[in-house]
Amino acid sequence: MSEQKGLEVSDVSHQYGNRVSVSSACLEVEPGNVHCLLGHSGSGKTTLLRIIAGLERALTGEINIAGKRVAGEGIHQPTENRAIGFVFQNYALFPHLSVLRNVMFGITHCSRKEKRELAMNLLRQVELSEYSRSMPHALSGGQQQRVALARALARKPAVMLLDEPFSELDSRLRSEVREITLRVLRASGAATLMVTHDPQEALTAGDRVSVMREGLIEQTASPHHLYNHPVNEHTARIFGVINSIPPTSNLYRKLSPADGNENRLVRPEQIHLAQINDDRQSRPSHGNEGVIVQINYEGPTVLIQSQLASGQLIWTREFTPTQRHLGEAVQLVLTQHACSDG
Amino acid sequence: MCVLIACLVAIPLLQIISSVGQSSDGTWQHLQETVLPGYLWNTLFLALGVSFITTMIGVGTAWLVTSCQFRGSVILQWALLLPLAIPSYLLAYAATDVLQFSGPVQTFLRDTFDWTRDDYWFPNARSLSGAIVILSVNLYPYVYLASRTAFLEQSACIREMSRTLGLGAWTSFFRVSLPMARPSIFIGLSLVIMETLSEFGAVDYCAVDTLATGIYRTWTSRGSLIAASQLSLCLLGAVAFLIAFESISRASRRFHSSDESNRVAARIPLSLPQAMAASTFCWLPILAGFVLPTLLFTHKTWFNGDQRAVEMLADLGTHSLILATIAATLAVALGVYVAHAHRTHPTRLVRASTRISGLGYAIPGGVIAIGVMGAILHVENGLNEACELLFQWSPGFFFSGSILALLFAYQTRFLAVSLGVIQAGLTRVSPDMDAVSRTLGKSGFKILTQVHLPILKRTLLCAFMLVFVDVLKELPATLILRPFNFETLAVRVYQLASDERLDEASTAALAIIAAGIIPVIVLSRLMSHGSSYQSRKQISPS
Repeated sequence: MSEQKGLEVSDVSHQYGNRVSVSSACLEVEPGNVHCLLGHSGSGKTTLLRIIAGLERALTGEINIAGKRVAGEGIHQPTENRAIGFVFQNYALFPHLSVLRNVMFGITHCSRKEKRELAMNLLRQVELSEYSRSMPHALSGGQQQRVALARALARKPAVMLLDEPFSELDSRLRSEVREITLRVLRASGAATLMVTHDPQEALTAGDRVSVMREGLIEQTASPHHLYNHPVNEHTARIFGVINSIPPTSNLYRKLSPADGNENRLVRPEQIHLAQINDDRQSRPSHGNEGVIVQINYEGPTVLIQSQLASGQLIWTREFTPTQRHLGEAVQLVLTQHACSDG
Repeated sequence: MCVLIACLVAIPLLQIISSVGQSSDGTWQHLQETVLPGYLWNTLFLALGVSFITTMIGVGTAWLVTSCQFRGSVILQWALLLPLAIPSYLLAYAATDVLQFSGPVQTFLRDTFDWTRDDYWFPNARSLSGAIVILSVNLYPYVYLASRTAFLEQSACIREMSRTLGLGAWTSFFRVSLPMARPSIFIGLSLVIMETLSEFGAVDYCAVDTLATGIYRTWTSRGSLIAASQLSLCLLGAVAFLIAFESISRASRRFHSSDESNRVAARIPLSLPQAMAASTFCWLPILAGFVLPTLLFTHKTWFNGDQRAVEMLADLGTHSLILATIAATLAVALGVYVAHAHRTHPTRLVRASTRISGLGYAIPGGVIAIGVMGAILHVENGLNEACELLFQWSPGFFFSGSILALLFAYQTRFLAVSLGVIQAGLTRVSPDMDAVSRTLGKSGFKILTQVHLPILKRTLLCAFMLVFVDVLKELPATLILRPFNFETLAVRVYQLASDERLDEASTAALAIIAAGIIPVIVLSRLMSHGSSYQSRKQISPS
């Protein structure tokens, strides 16, 4: 048990009836760091969060918060005695209390004046001090989320747990609220574990990201490593379209290392399209040549699908504006990065 | 504690069930050979007749005010609840008074057309069919409430989609709205049948012999508690069937419940003749069930009211108010305790206890009174014998003739009302509130006092009011269990009306009606509060 660890989860398992919801989960979060738990619905990420909070009881495993064992063999600290803050997906603000009273709710062991000062200070941090007297229903979704954050931070928790905190916000508000939230969280020094199903959010917000699937943590890594070195196709696909290149393909031989019998995963942006001379336009002759069969506009980028002579479909990504058109003959070339990194 | 409350509620039931096989000194045999078949048939026909008419009125009016646009439909939305303010026995007194041979209607007909007694036929209010109509006009709001809620919950998309598939407004109602609302309608209907089965005052006044009146008569005239308990068992059988039916309906209603964020469908504008027909259909039951009886009692009070009005209201009113206040406070406190235990520790035992605690409302007041009386007498007899043996002294029957016995019966019957309202209120408090309170360092009792109770303030007031007025109107249990010479407003009205002194009874009747309007206001506010809560939810995530 190391003292500098904010949160340590080791070998935690949980079941709902006969269904395994979390299986041997392990993760560590340093104080001041944000760790994202990424997965589809039903992957067990929220259950793991609730186990850490003490709202669900783990079948096996240990949990340490700020170096203190809160769950383990014969130990189950009640939620109210754990040094945690929790922000729920729907914020769960108390509708009968004003914004200020909501934030003051969990503060104990100090005078009313001190509670008020502490709460006002937190509201200033989340840029809501002028709404201290408002009732929760009078606030927008983004404002409610920030009140929930301030309320959870008011007890100065060692660990902050956030369950899909931005999912109820529209995309315009989301990035703005996320920026404020992350700034406040990092400044608080709490170890933060954030559940999300949005891969972009996980990559943007997390210092480290764990990908969960069917109760298992499949991979934990930095966003960069996770994106470029996924351990399997599921983890790779969670971040978007990916090409699975078989050993029989000409492209495979250019990948480094080029030996092996398993399909290799290559992201669309690791392949680029080169022009072919006009006389060969209608009929692809080389293994790396193909015809564009689909173009999907994504905004700043365009996703282009080409069909190789072997019939295999390959995705590539280019910046807009693009001059590509359906039926255009193209040559598929691996980027330097793909050749060296695999 | 939760289990203890359930046990207390179950005592009267167990007492009645234990009467199976006990000897009633031939009373039960006598009942079987003489009046029991009549009781059963009358009860059956009464229940069937009332079910049919209340469904027609309740569903019809609910659909009209929810789905159609016509002048007055907004007022009708709450006005259709008004008949709930009048206890059915008062409606029976009013109806028989107006429609009897010497009443204003028949007198007017005879004077206008110069008829004599033999020249015309006029329906008799004091008959089975009269009782069916009276109870239907009084009880249809249960079906109306359930149907209206179901129609409001139905997604506009589903109704609009059915229109795009070629169904007209009426066909859409019969093929889409009505089948979707059916489970809710059944819930309202089962409440109507339970009320009909337990109805005593109105059917007694209409001279219809049902199981409910039979129980009272067997106890008061024949003095046989065992035979009365055995008769109660027949009623309990029917109630058990209804509870099973209702819980099946509730279970299937879950599949029909729609997303809260659904918007309300646009209402169908009616042409002038259609609007007139709709208005007539909706206003008639209000006129018959509320306006006319209230006017009648007001008129009687004004001209021939109880001469002891001031004295009476001071005495009877105080008795009624004290009883109702204590009973309602107790019911709310016990309801909060049971509902909170059910939410925070939903073990199998607590769930079963909660279900038992909620059974009482389905059981007729007379049956509960007999059960309470039997159980208390058992305890008192045992205690007296033990004291006699040990101290050669006996405390006597100190509990059976006291207010405590009456309060015990009220809790058994009305705990279900407060529990139901509080549980419904708690379902609107997200479980995340409890979880977040725990993450903020609060546990069980603090969550109850600092989160649940402040949020449920309005709900608790509603529960208090509903039990308060139910106790104020309650008749059979009060008649059987009240201490000697202890009268309430309801008992006074019953006694005066039984002596055909309706003019004098009108003052107390009016006082009961005035109190009865409170739950109607509470209900209509709850309905409008519910919809504003939904619209607030729609706005908040933006």
